[in-house]
Amino acid sequence: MSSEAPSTQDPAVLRSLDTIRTDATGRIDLEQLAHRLSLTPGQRLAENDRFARFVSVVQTAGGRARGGNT
Amino acid sequence: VAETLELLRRLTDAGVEFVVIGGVAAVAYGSPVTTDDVDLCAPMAKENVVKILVALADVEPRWRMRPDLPVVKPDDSYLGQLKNVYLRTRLGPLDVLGEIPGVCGYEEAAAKAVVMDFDGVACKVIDMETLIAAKRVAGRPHDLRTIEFLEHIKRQG
Repeated sequence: MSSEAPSTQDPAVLRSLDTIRTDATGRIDLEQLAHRLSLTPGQRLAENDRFARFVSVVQTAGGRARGGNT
Repeated sequence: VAETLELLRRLTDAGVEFVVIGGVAAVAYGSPVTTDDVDLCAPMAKENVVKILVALADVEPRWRMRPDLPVVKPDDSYLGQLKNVYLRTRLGPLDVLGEIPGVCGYEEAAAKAVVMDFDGVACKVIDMETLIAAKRVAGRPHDLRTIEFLEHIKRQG
């Protein structure tokens, strides 16, 4: 693990921060995939469950905004 | 509270300017879930980026694409030079885009946005027409599928 902050003089370093690293198709976020694969199956399910709780809040808020019942 | 909601709560409490875009916005309009993270559009002016980092200071924000680098600090001098901010925190990932690629910048997105209340966290959400345009530009299979749902929802009024 580096202890050095990125050099503001190096545009390549800055671009490495603000550009998604993808596969050749440009569709697969390789960092996100690597993160998921670094988890155990149980941890992946736990992450999904946590995000699902957030999605439920968003769905309810959206329903209210659309004047629906949910 | 869901970690992602806590992320948004911290940003709003810190006065960060942002609009919710991407799959989460699509879910808010009624599309089935096709996302597992939250995408925002926000001004990349240093002041706003610093606010983001202050809000997340105690959840170890790191550059998602450069996990080899130290935890990002609000006083890092290069924060005003970025086009996008991709972070991973203890509350989950957070992708903040400086513009909606091929569609519009933050100011236009914010002007058209709809405010939704996510369990007490009032957030601007990209309007449906701009969201559809953004999904069309992105053009991935799940984006095109989402457009189908959004167009159907729009027709239903």
